[in-house]
Amino acid sequence: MRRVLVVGLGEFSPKARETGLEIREMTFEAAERAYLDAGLRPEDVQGIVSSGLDFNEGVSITDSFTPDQVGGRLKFNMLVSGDALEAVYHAFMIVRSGMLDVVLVDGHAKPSEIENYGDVLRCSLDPYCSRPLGFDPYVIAGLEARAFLARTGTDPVAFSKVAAKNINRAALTGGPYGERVSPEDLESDGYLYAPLRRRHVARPSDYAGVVLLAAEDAVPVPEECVELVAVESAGSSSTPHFWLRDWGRARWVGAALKRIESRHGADPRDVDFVEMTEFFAHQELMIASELGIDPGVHLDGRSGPVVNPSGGCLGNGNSLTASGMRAFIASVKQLRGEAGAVQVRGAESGLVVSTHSEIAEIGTVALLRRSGG
Amino acid sequence: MSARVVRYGPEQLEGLPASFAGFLRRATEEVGSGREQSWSKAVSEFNERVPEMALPGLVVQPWLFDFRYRRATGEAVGRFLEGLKEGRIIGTRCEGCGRVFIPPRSFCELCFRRVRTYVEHSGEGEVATYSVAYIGTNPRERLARPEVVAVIWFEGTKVVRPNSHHVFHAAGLMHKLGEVEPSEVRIGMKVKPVWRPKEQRRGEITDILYFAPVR
Amino acid sequence: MRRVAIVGAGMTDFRSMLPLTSPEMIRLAVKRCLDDVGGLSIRYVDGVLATSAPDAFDGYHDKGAIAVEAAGAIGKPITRVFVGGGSGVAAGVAGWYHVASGAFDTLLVVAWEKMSHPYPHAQKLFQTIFDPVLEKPLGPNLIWIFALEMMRYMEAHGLKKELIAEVAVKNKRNALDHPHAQLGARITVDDVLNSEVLVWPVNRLDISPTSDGAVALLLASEEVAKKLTDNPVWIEGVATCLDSQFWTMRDLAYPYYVYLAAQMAYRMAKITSPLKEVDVWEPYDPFTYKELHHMDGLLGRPGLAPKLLAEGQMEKDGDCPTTPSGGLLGVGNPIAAAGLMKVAELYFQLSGRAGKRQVPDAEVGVAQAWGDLMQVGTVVVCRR
Repeated sequence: MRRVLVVGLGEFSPKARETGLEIREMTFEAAERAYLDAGLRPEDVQGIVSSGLDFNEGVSITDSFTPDQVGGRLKFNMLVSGDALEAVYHAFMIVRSGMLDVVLVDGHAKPSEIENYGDVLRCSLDPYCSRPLGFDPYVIAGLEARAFLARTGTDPVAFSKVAAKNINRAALTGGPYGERVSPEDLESDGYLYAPLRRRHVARPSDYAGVVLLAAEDAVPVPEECVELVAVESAGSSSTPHFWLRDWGRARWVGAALKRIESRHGADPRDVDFVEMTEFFAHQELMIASELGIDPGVHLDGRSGPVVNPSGGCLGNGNSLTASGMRAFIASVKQLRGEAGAVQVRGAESGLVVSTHSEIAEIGTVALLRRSGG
Repeated sequence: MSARVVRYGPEQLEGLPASFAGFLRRATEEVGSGREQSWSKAVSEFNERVPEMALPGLVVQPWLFDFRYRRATGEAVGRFLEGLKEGRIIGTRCEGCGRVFIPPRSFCELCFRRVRTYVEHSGEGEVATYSVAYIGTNPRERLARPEVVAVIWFEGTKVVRPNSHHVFHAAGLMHKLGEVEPSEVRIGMKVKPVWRPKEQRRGEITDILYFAPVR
Repeated sequence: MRRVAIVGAGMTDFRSMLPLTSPEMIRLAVKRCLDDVGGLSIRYVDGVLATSAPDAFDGYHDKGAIAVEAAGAIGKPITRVFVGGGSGVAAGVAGWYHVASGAFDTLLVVAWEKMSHPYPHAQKLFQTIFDPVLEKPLGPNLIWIFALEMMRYMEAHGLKKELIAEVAVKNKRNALDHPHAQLGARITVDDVLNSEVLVWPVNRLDISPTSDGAVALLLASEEVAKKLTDNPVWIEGVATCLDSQFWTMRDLAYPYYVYLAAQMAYRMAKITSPLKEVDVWEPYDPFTYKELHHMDGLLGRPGLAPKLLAEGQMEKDGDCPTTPSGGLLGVGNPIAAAGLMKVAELYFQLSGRAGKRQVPDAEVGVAQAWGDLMQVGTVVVCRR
């Protein structure tokens, strides 16, 4: 199988609220930067894989609105209805299959334009048994957080420790929700979905990110580059049937990791850092424990992989389906040594873990490695 | 076989937050008892064809979409809408390929570059294609008066491929036609915008009432 | 590049109202698909590729996330692709690269649509596909814009409605032989012309119905396929192509994007002369004119398809058998499921199991779908 390289990336950095540009213009800026970064022209790209969900953008068939701003007119196109890391997954398979050599992947979201997002997300629940109860769907995260505490015997202060770490991290890079805070500061926040407090919940941010993937035999490979070693995904229950969950665990993570081991012969746990889309503080702990990272250890970063060096969603915001793209790009920057103030020293490999949506039990895992040309 | 639509009456709504109770009440009113009979028929046919999954009856749940968005138009479309308010049609021109975009765009998808040259157009154009609508969004209800819908290609913006009649590009807008009988409309017919009175314009696409033939 | 085979297919009836939820429809289609492979256990399936058209129809936000249990994907990869009306065939394309890339040995491809939920009619929801600033305030409906395309196409080739109506007559008649069809019928050209005008030049019988339905296919790598069946059908060419969203700036007379997608798929399948080499065509026919419009693109010759139709070459015994399934006009149009039904039809035809619909000695078939704002072409080429 041919190796797949990440040859370019570009971002419209996350912002709590972008008022000047519309979403296609934001994505155009990200794509322009990605082409520049890769030293490629749009005509070098043969296909586009984008991601998005109709109601997040307020137009049905969001796919219609994807080609022009990324240089994708009259090219191969596929839209994955979910998180952008799922789109990376598809692009990875497209390049590996030999069908195309250079593929662009796009993630974009503008949650600041949705006035009643809770009502939108509620519609991913069961229409007969859940929706008529009228609860805010983020309550499901509260259920999950409570179950995680009960299952593991974790002290709820851990949520504030995770959130403070990520929010402080984002302060180093100018992330929209970055600030200097201590866990004690966060413990004084009120509850939103107990046991989750206000800043244990990621706040919305507008964002666009674009990456270019290429087969190593198709482009001039620089001396040092980043290889996308494996991407796998798994589901463990449908969102409308959330009550079926094995509460307090993210079982899909284990299933996806097992596929990385069995189908790619790689060890996804032997990495220097993990970037993930933790929409809520407990999700970072829940996912970390599936990875075998002891929550107590990873917080101080002394041993084992550093978790969310970029500050994750709690620091950089919830960019809906583009969140996975932000985490992916943050990881590639780490491996290129371009992560600035949050650089993990000597990072050779990293894992990206991304959930399909805030309340889904489906997700995707990608393994990245620094690689000689 | 029977089908039943769930209805939320005052008893069920008591104690719910007012806005959500209002939402469920509206769902009950607007979706009403629609299609109960057709559903009953559908259940009978299904039970006959797939006996292993036969249903005792069917319950239908009403629900409404009530999603609200507040959208930034971006600079180019923003300037277009501001222009409409003044009765002007604003576009952009790509300095790379020379194509004109009306409504304007801030990037050219072919040259893949930013487009910042604004141009003003008379608004005159030709009918690229048209249709006559006898229905709105519910095909079961006929409109009182049919509407003529058209794509208008603005004059002087057409780029035709040599060796064929294929129009490679034209600055085009979907809108309605007026002051013309449906039977008189032809592809290629010259048209111009008819504006809403100045004081009624609000910087929206409907500031142009319709396009009318140039006589 | 590994070879990829279709080894089984199953579907529900297509009906204007099926008293099943989407997960129940999926379950039924998947069960019938596994039964078709000798009652294969779901445990042998490596993962699921799902597709379904706008979230709005079903009334779910993120409706891909409702299929995990119904499609048997617990602990397995499941993602959903969605390119408007092109989704069903795009799922065949995506399914192909899942297996060809080596990531999957067996993969369920599942498509469903539930259009009876919107009340009073699904058309209302189609309104949400338009540009919210520049188009929606005009109160558009979907038939408007297809009527615009039909008019442009008729003008370009001087086509008469009498000829275009023949597509409805042919496809509804073919559908009489399809066991799951919603609208198989014997009708005449006059029936089409005399049916109510909805948006001139589109009459009611020019349009496919709204439908509920689900389809499932099982794909397998070459090695596994040979263990599962003696009669695999190989997916040999796949492609999609998406044109600009700014549809009013394009000439709608010719679907250039369908042409480009077809060319890419033919290159993969080593087809150089499609009219000669392809035995069965399943182009996307949500409207009568669309079958001809798409065949123009698939054959790479603007205006050729209407001539073939007039000569009777698109009948089952003609030189260019087109839509023997009965298509969307006859079998029904549960959007994404209708597209995958066309790929399933290639499987039935090329494995010689199409019953009364069988095109004799069919070896090579092409299925195509179309969608978005008259913008995307998706193509799958199969060979026995």
